[in-house]
Amino acid sequence: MKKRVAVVGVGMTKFSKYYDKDVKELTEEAVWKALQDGNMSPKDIQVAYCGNAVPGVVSKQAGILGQIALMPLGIVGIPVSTISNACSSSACGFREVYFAIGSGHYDVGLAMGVEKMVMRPEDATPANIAMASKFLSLGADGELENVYGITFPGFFAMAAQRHMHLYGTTREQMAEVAVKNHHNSVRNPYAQYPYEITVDDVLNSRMVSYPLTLYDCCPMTDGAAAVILASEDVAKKYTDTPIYIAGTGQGSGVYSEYAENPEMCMTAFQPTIRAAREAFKEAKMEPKDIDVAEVHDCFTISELIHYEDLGFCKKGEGGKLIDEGVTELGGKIPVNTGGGLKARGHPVGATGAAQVAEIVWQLRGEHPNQVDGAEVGLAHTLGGLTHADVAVSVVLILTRK
Amino acid sequence: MVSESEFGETKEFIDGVFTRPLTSKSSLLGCKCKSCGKTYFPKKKLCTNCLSWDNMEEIALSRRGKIFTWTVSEMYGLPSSSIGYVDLPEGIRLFAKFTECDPPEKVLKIGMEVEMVVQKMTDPFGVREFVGYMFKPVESRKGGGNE
Repeated sequence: MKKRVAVVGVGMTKFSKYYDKDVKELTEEAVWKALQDGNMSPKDIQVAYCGNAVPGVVSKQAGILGQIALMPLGIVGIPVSTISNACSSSACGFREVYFAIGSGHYDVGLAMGVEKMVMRPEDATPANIAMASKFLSLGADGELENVYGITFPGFFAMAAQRHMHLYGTTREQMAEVAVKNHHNSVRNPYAQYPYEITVDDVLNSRMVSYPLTLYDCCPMTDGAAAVILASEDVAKKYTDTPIYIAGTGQGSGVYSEYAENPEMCMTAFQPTIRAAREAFKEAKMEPKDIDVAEVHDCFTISELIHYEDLGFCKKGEGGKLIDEGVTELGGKIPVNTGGGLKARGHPVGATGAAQVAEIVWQLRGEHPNQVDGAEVGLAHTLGGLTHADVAVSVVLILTRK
Repeated sequence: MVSESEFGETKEFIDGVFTRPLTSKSSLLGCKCKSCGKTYFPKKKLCTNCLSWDNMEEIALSRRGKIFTWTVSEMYGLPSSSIGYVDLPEGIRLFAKFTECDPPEKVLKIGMEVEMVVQKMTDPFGVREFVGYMFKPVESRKGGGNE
């Protein structure tokens, strides 16, 4: 990268169910908070990317959602692009802004994400619910998988079955992920479900997709999150605590078709392995250098698999890692210190930007669950399905030095 | 030709994807590269193994395979559905629904041998009707037999 790039402002809405707020209102609040955080005006933004994964049915906008959502802020005229890349949408946008500034083309840019997933009660007719469910499941191969009823919980339940089969991972170990993340959310003012749960709560909740129950799954959420980036020299004009981007990586699914080892499909996600390799290489770092991480816990089993793919432990030892407390507050690599997708909530297109906000707060020393002396943080998102693999993953490494 | 189908005028989930005549014992049609022998499903023109173009022969895929993984999907307002991936001997992995496996949590197992049944079915939302495939445990039929 020609220029060093830093995060100068972050902001997000509380993640919740907003029957009465649309994408404009949610975006307005998140971006305004990020601008205030960076002591900036909307006029300072030179380029913007808007992540939104499920346009249409619930968001009631598609294609140019970014331009619509940013209108109330007067962020108009400049290049605005909408990125729809499943759960990694705004993380991909963050990467594009990083490239746009790092290349020297722009000095200041906005990466934000917004998602409406919850319908107004009067809109929640069986036909609309069916249409929304159908739209979500179109994040898989329509011709080969969608028609036979693949779902996201179904996919990760099948991943859990493989992980249990190959490595002896237990339901209790999966449940510990949900217990940890709910515990972390209690002090997070932005969290959708900030309350404690127990392993028994997870094991005894309603079955969603065998063996995963309701508390193994992240919720449906509305919300927005925003991150403002600037080149190093410009960043120092706005903030005394710039948080630098050390490395980024992105990968796409390889399907069963192109997998080097088809037996490893669904217990190792190739996009994450690739993205992590790329990000660590650029950052000239290793997994042991990470002080705090945001890891894509869309389902409890996902977080365990990602520990392995990110290099926090060996393949098959994700369950052991959580048993040993390595990823809890006070452990060596606290993961999802704000509650993760599980308890903070998962407004799909906004999640990548929200993860960056959490890491920035940690590296500035402002987080409600502050990790002492955190200097390097990692954010990881993943989403979409490509026949026994996931479709996209992004890894971002940030540093305060 | 419609007369070649025991399912009347109902269309396949992909046009022409099954062997004719179209019956419950039909096979899925894939393709095999004439240059290097790599198999694909569904059919396509480019062999990504040897980069031959439009040099494929049509092959009928095995009607038996082994369960790679499975689950029982419970969707709001819809009947529960047993789904999973099945590995065919040709190196093809299919996403599939399972049938004749009650209760699935007790019957289905990773590595279990299953057999394909072609039948009329609908998408999960009961909107689109099509001729598709399901897999059933081979053990549920006496002796297993040869296909």
